[in-house]
Amino acid sequence: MSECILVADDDREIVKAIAILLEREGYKVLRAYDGLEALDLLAQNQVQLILMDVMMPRMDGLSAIMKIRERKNIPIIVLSAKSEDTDKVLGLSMGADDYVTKPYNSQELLARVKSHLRRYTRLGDIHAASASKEFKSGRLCYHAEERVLYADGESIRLTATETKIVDLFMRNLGRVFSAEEIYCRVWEEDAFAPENTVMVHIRRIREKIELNPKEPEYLKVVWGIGYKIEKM
Amino acid sequence: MDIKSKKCKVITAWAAFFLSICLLVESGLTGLNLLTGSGPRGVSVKDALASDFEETEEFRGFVSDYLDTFLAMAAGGPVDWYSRYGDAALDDSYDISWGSGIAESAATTVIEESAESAWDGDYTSEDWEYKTSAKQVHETIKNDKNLIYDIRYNGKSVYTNDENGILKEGEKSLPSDYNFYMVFAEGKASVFKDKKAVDVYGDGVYRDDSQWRIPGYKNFTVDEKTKKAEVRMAVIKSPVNYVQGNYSGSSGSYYGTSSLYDIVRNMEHAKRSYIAKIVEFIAGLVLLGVYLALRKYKKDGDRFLVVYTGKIWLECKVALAVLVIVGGIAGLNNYMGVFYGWGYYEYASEILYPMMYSLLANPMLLLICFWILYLLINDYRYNRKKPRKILVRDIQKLFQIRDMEYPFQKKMIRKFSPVMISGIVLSVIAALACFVSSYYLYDNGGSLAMVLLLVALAVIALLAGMMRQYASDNRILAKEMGDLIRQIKKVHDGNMTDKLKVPEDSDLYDAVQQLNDIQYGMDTALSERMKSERMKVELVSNVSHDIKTPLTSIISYVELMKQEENLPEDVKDYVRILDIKSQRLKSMVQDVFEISKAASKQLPVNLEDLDLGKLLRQTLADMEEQIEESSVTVKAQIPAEAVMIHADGSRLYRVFQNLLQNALKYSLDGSRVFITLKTDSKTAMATVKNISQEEIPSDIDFTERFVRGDESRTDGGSGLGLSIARSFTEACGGVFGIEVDADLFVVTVEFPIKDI
Repeated sequence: MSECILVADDDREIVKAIAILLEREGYKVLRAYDGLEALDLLAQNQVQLILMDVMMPRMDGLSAIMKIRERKNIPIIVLSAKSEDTDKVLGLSMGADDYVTKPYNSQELLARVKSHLRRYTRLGDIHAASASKEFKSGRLCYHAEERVLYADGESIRLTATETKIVDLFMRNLGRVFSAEEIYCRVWEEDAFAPENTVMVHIRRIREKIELNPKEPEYLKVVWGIGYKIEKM
Repeated sequence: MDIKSKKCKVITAWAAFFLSICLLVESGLTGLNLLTGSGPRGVSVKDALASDFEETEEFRGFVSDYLDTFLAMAAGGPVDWYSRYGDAALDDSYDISWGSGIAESAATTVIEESAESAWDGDYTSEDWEYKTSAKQVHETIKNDKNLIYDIRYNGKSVYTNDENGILKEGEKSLPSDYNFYMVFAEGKASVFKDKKAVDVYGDGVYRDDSQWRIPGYKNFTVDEKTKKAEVRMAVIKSPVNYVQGNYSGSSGSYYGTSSLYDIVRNMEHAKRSYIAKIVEFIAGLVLLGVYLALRKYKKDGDRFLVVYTGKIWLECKVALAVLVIVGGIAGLNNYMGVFYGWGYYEYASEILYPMMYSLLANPMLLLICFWILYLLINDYRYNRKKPRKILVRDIQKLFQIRDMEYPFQKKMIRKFSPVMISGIVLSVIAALACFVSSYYLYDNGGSLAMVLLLVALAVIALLAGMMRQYASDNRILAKEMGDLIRQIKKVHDGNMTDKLKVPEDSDLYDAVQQLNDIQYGMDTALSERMKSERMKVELVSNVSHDIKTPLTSIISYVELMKQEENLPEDVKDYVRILDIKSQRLKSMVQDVFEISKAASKQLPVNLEDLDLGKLLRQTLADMEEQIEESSVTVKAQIPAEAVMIHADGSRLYRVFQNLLQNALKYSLDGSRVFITLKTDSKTAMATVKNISQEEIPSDIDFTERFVRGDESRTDGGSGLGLSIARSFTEACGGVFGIEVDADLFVVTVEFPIKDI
């Protein structure tokens, strides 16, 4: 089974490049060059995910997203050259599920597409199987009793120490822990210069759970204070 | 030379100077007093230093006086008791005896007083001459065995205290403790000392400087009646005190003491004080020598004193100088007047005498005056060029400081009020003067006086009215000026909308209009600038967006090409270069965008309290891999305790990331990069130090955009790293600094410490 992805951008070369990238991964790609065209294609086809540029002729991306959201619940990833925080907030509040800035990183874009598709297609299953004690944040879901972390519904292989760290963060989403505190709780020893040790583990966990470990979305450093997993 | 020994020398030199002057002046004064005949305790040098008191002028005076007294007693008349004090050495006590008396004469006055009280005759004008009956005198002195006397008249003993009869046989049979013997008979005296005859009359002519003031000279004889008197007396070798208590006198109790003993004792005391003065003088000379040897250091002492005297108000100094000088002159005049008045004209004509007498009578006063003058002159010498401390100016300053607290209007009115008050006072005085003068003129000039008074009153009324008008005008002007000044402050503080309005006939109308124009101009210029700043950011934003779109295509297709496997090796190499350069272009576009925003102060920052030390440790941990890959070692010196500052953590992370990357990239291979965090009570300062691989050009501002140490360098780095670091630091409220010392490259990031 191949999912159908709609790519809308006024720059034909970009659309083509994304299409090649996605088709290599086995997805079916629909191409649109403005907002109206995208709406037309969406009406005629079964689409599982949309990649949408913001600045397009005839109808811009944000208006198109609002239109789509009137009827459909499919994942939409905004792809824009605007990198301001305000632009991101605007896009997400209009109904987009994710925001990727141009120039994008192909690997990251692919990872995000896969992530959203998994969540979209398996969302129902996860909910049905939900255990009594689970902590959720965006793509991440932690089952406290089994001590297993799921990302987009797939369980992540973590070492014992990593699991302890994730357990601490997921049970206290959004709370900032200093390196000393993490060290005390996880290693159960007094901390002496724990920053490097903690950072090494955090980097490893990031590689397992983040789509782009260089620009983490979930496991973040709060500079000058500590570390946290963002509540989403 | 070490400071301590120098300090010792300065102190020694100055102390020697001070003491030598004090001692020399004090002993010198005694010397000067001697010249005028007033030695200590009224004793001359010769007498004071004589080994045998019987050889002194003082003693001869004593004997002469008693001889006078005894002759008078023998003749049976009342005794001129006082006259025995008329000897030369006690000249000064002439007035003292009349007055309250001073220490030197106190001892000698006692017997005199007891004698006086013993005399119970009527007090007449002759009392002043202390006439006393012979019997009373005998009663008073007979118990004083220092002086044994036998007074005879016509061969019959009248008064004697010679109970043991030692005088009967003449000088031959005197006991050994009485070594002075005098006999006066037939109008002539014979004196024996240690049983040897003493030449009394010399060539037989009595002169002022004759040693013995006793009758028997050719030109100093006695009357016929007295010739019948015979007086013998013997004086003890070492006098002892004889005290006679008088309790039955009419005016209470007195103690009479032996006058000879008092004289001898007085001479001993005088001798002691002479020796003391000589010792003082010698000590003074020695100290003067010490001072002269160290006079170089004494000058340092002077300069040291000047520091303190310089702190005294000039007015005080002038007042002190005037007091000392005028006081000295007045004192001199006063004493001169006294001496003239007392008929010492011939002494006073020697100008030295009264001067000495006045100042020199009180060496302490003289010394105080001297040192005050010395300090003042010393102060003048060294402080001439320096700004003086003037009381009036200080008071003025004080008032000025207080005035500063008032707004302008009040200040202006306050400044005018003294003028107004003095004007009013002056007017009132003028009116009174007119009134008084017209009152006196009325007798002479009548109508003229009235006219003058009326004119004066009219002028005063006019003056008062004008001043009142001026004051009220001033008040309005002051109010408007105050408004204007407030408005200038408003404009200065950035209020560009409020306009000031004053009536068109105001003196300040033009100034106010011009200020309003300036305000408008500034407002326009400011909004223009804001607009242009905004446009600049928009431009950069648009440009970066426009660059990003084609860049997206480039990067995307490079990615695709990278995935092609069957490309020739050289083409793969081209693709690799394209990949690196396009990635760098991507980061540069982002950096330029952020810098332009920071430069126009539109960079959003999320300020929060954070621990700078922790941030540095996190940054180091975050970059651990890069550090390990690099050829340098990073040494961190970060305190364990929290260093709280108020900043944006993620921006600061970028700052230190850039600084570290810079250091890793441009450091000499194998060298160390030092990251330190130091704090004082107010600021936290993070420093990154590294040794540059290449020579650092000295004239480059590294925080300028696109500047790199090595212009030809093409590896890595957009040249924006330090520029971003500075922009971000400043956006967070920190201070960014770069120092280059030869090959040492030092970057400092400073933040104020946040109190918890």
